[in-house]
Amino acid sequence: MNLRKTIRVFVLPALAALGALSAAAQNPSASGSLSVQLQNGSGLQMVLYSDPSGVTLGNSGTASASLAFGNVSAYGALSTNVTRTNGTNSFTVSTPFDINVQVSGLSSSSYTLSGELSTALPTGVTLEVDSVSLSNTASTPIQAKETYGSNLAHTLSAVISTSASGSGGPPTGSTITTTINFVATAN
Amino acid sequence: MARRAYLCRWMSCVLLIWGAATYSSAQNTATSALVVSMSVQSSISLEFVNGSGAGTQGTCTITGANTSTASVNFGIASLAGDNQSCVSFSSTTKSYTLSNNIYALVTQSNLASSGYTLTASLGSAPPSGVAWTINSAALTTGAANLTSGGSYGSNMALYLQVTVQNTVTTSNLSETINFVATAN
Repeated sequence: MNLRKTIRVFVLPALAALGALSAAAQNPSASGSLSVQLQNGSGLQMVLYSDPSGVTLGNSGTASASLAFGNVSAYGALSTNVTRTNGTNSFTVSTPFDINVQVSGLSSSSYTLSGELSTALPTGVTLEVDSVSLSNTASTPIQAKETYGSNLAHTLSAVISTSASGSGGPPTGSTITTTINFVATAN
Repeated sequence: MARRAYLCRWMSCVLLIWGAATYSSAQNTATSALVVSMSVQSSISLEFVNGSGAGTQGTCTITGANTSTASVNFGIASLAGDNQSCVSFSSTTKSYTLSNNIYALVTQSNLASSGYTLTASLGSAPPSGVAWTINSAALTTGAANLTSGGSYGSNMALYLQVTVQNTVTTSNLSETINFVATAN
């Protein structure tokens, strides 16, 4: 009993103190925790592509592309992959192009495509996408239930009056430029 | 105090939901921009058309109607006659003449032009003793003026005639007639 008491009173505290000293002799350390916050949002991405049967787009594969019809006329030669139909008082030049919209984080199976011109076109010229006439005053729905994830062909058409410039027709010999701002909205 | 705390929690919740909705809707659209350019050019078109009496004598039906490359068959002819019933035939003791109406339609686009000038020329010089005319204008390999005041959008009648003297040997007298319409 004396021995046990001696151990409890003297030896064990001594060992504890020794352990404490040993720990104090090691390199200092610190601990911490990092709380990472991430919210997976929803998003759509729209990209314009050249259609195999259409005019080659400038900057194809981006969201900011360009499409040049080149010289257009009722009876003259047209650029490659530009087609024409002649009406009574107008002619229409057309070419296909592709739109690809990707979706993430949404339980949406389709999207609505709409378009709006950045500027008014000259008298005698209207632009259509899939036969829907576009304006510079409001965004116009073009397609209501488009499918995500694949290149979908759309037809860009310019309907041009055959009237002379100043008599209801567009100016001739000068470049007409406008921008179609497309918006894809998840349904 | 408790009521105030409750109100604050409630308002925070509403603001949180509103903020989430705004965030969500803002991400559910995508945009792109397509710059479109073109240059409108004036143009003029000439095509051959069948007249209302196509197929009757004096107005043969043309092949390639409504295009700018057409053909008409005058058949096989001699002083004795022509084997094409649609071709008008006349003869003298020394020659025969074949006649036929051809129609041309000239249209314009994006032009401030009230009319056009039409000329015609032969693709090759005919043999001696063969003479071609349109609307009485003699045709050669040079341009012959057919009209200086053609009206756009209206069929223009071209009375085509060829006179063959009896001195011309048996041969193929086919010709290509080239027309040019120029906006005035």
